[in-house]
Parts: sequence; C-alpha cells; structure tokens
Amino acid sequence: MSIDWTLFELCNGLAGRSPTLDAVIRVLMNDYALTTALVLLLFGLWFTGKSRTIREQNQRAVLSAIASMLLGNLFVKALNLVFYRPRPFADHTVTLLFYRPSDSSFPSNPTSIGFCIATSVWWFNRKMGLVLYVLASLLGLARLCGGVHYPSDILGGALIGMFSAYLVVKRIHFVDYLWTVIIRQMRRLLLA
Amino acid sequence: MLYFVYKELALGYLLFSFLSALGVLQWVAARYRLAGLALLDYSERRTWGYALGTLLIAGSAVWFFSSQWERILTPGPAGSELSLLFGIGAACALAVTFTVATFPQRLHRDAPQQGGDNGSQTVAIGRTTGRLYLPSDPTAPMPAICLVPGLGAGDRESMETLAHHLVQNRLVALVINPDEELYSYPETLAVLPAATSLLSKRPEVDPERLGALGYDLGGDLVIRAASAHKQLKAVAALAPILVDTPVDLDLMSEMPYAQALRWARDRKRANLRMELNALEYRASIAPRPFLLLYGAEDRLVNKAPIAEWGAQHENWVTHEVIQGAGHLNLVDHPMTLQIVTRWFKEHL
Repeated sequence: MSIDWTLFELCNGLAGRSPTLDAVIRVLMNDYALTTALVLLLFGLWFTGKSRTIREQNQRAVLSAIASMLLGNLFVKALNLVFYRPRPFADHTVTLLFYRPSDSSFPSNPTSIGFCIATSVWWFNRKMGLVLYVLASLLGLARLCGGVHYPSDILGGALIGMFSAYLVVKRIHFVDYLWTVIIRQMRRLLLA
Repeated sequence: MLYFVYKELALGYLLFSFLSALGVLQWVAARYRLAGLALLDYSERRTWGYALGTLLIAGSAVWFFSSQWERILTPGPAGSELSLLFGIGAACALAVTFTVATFPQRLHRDAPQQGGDNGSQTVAIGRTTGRLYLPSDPTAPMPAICLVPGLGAGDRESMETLAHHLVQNRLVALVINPDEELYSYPETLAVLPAATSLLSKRPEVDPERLGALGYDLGGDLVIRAASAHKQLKAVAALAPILVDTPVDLDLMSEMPYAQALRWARDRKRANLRMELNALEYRASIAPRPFLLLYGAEDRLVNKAPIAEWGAQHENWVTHEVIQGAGHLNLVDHPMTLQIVTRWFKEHL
C-alpha cells in the first residue's frame, strides 16, 4: 500500500502545478478523448491492409478487441460486486482534476478497456498494437495524475484487459470460427 | 435502460463520432486507393484524402471538446451509451461515404471521352451489331481487329477510343456492341466468326490478317472463340476474368458501393464466365501470338492464375502489365493504346 501511495503522490503531484499541464491531463483522462481515439483506430483498422490476407488479420484483431472489451467489462463488473475500494480522494487530500466517480476505484475500467483493445490488436498487428498500448497507457497515467485512481487500480485494469484479450485470442478457440463466418458475411456485403 | 444525462452532449458526441469516422474513412480511401470510400477523387492526389481526413478528425475534435468542455468534466453517459452513439455515428459515416463516393465516379464517367462515333458506320454482325472504323484513305487491304467489350465493366466509348487509335495507325477496327446476344451462351460463340466473316468481305480488309481483342469478359470470349476459329491470326485479351473474382472490399477500389455490389452479384456474368471457361481453352490458341495485358492496380480480377500462366514463359504469349492502370481504366490507358497498336502491327 505504501508503494502504491508513494507512486500516487508522485503522479498526482504533477496536477495543480500548471494550468496547461492540468488541461492536458483533463483532455487525456476524460471519457471521450482517448477512448474515442482507440475506437476510431479500431474502426480504421477494419478497412486497412494491402492484401486480402493482411486485411483479414486486422479484421480478426478488431473482432477480438470487441469480444475482449465485453469479457473485460464482465470481469470488472464481477470484481466490483465482491470488492469495493474507495477512490483516493475519499480517504486522502489529493489534487482532483475530474469529477468524483462513485464506483469502485479498483480496477480502472477505462484502462482495462484500453488494454483489451491494445492487447487484442497486438497479437495480430504489432505496429498498431504498439500505438494502442501507448494510448491505453496514457489513459491510465492521466487518470492516475488526475487523482481518480491509485497505481494499483491502473495495474489491475491493465492486467484484466490483457488477460481478457489473451483468453479471447489464444484460449477461446471457437471465436476463430465465429470471426471467419462474420468476415465472410461482411465480404458478401463488400464491407470486409 | 439507456441514460444519456445531457441531450446536447449526446448529440455532440454523435456528430463528433460521425465526422471523425468520416475522416478515418478518407485516410483509408487515400492510403489504399479505395474509390468507393472517397468523398473526393483522390486518384491523382492522395494528399487531398489525408488532408480532408485530418481536417475532419481534428476539426470535429476541437469543436466537440471546446463546445462541451464543461459537461465533459462532469458525470456523463456511461460506456454502453457512448458505444451506441459511436456505432450509430460510424454507421452513418459509412452510409454517407458510400452515397457521396458515387459522385466523383459519375463525374469521371460522364467526362467527354476521346473519339466518339466520328468516322464509323453501324454494321450488322449476324444477330448483333457493331461499329466499323476505317482509315480515311485506304490504299491497300489492311489488317483488321474485332474488339469485344466487357460486360458491366467497360463502356463502349472506351473501346471506341482504342478503335480510333488503331485506325490512326492504319488498322481497321470493328467494335461489337455489348447487347444481349453477346452475353448469351452459346449464342455468343457465333459473334466472332460472324464478325470475321463480315470483315473478310470488305475490300479494305486483308482477310489473311485478322485479329481479335477482348476486354474483361470479352477477353474470355475472345480466348474461347479464337481456340476454335483459326482465321484469327493474333489474339489479345485485356484483363480477362478467367476465374471467379474475389468478392470483398477491393471491388470498391474502382467502383462506388452500389455499382460494386451489382458487379459482385451479377449472376449472368458469373455464369457466362464459367460457361466460357477460357482458361481451359487458352492452349488451343498456340502457336498464334497472344497478348495478355493487365493493369498493375487491377483488384477486380483474381491474379493467381494469371501469375501462374505468366510463369510458364510460353513463347507465343506476350504478358504485359501496365503500371498505374486498374481494371476499368485499362482500355483507355495511353500505355495500353500504345502496346496494343504496336503489338498488332507486329503480329498481323
């Protein structure tokens, strides 16, 4: 807990020093900017690829990312049912750059979503996966600096996201067949 | 139950999603040359696509965040609501792109074509018709070429551009009209013999120097007909279909969505392609010279059998690939006009 708090203080210490930095953190941590960027990249990825084979890989990545997000969300909701952790601002004096969310601090749901997307894509497309990892990490870091999560919340969210993606891409084999069927149908509509 | 908290924020996010998805599609259209996803014609300048895409994404983001900044920093719609709004926005962007992308295509198609019907005459070819192009001052009997257009792909004007070019180079050209007769099997097999018979009887034509050229499915017909019709001394096929065309997003590389969908679902084309089965009959053309010509950017044909054919290095086959040409603009391409004319002049 002490390492968690020390790291939190270090990151949250960046908030409130400069209006410009605060604005940047607010832009990065809100529910609309980076999450939309992640989903927009997924949307573009669906149509991307120099050949039919590469495009199909990208489309499998997109479908896996969507499935991972659903699974990750389920894990987070299930955890929230059995475990509640108050937000940092509830127990400590922090510099808060956002509104006061009322749900459990652990795990960070936006970070989990970001890492679900990044990890799913990374298995299929390393370059795009890396870009998405950077965006997902920025999202987690910004929420930490903004005072709404502890570092362990971010780490937990990231691990849940990565684990969900791992399950979907590597362990749940029937989804491969499902993706094939979906992509085949989308090709008939010229959408894949 | 969905709860959007602020109506203005939800509508703003919907518009932001729509515009930014539109921007992403413009990037994709420019990067992968997908004309069916392009709001403007990026075939000459890709940078326009990147610029418009960036403008839409950045502009919509700046507008959304500046107009909704106060609400963004308060509790708003949950993830499920935002996902729904993004999904609707992206679907609308796709629909708008498909609709608007037909305009640059239509403008391009409506642009005046070189040539036209000047200097030609309509002739009856068996149960179908065609247009005969003769050089203005025929001095001695000349070589003649039957031109067979594509079905649903090329237009007659395209073949006429080629016909004019051939005539300028002192070759007689007969363009067969793409009517029902041409695309009914087995009636279509009688069209080329009827055309060569008509040409043989013309005083301007040397009956020993007849050739045939087909484009798209017309290429398949020419291969099949020439296999049995030995009067044809040289045969050229421009982007023949040969095997089933893959149906996917690539069809939008040269066509808007609605046209690509019609192309993909044209059973008449698919059945005629199968019945002609040109790939099986190609060997019967030997030892007569054969020109096989494709556009490097052609994504409307399956390239695998063509590459395989090209790799066999048969000395009677000339395999040419036109850089920068696709499927629909292949016949009009200046390189095609040059290569085809030179090749027929050499081999007839």
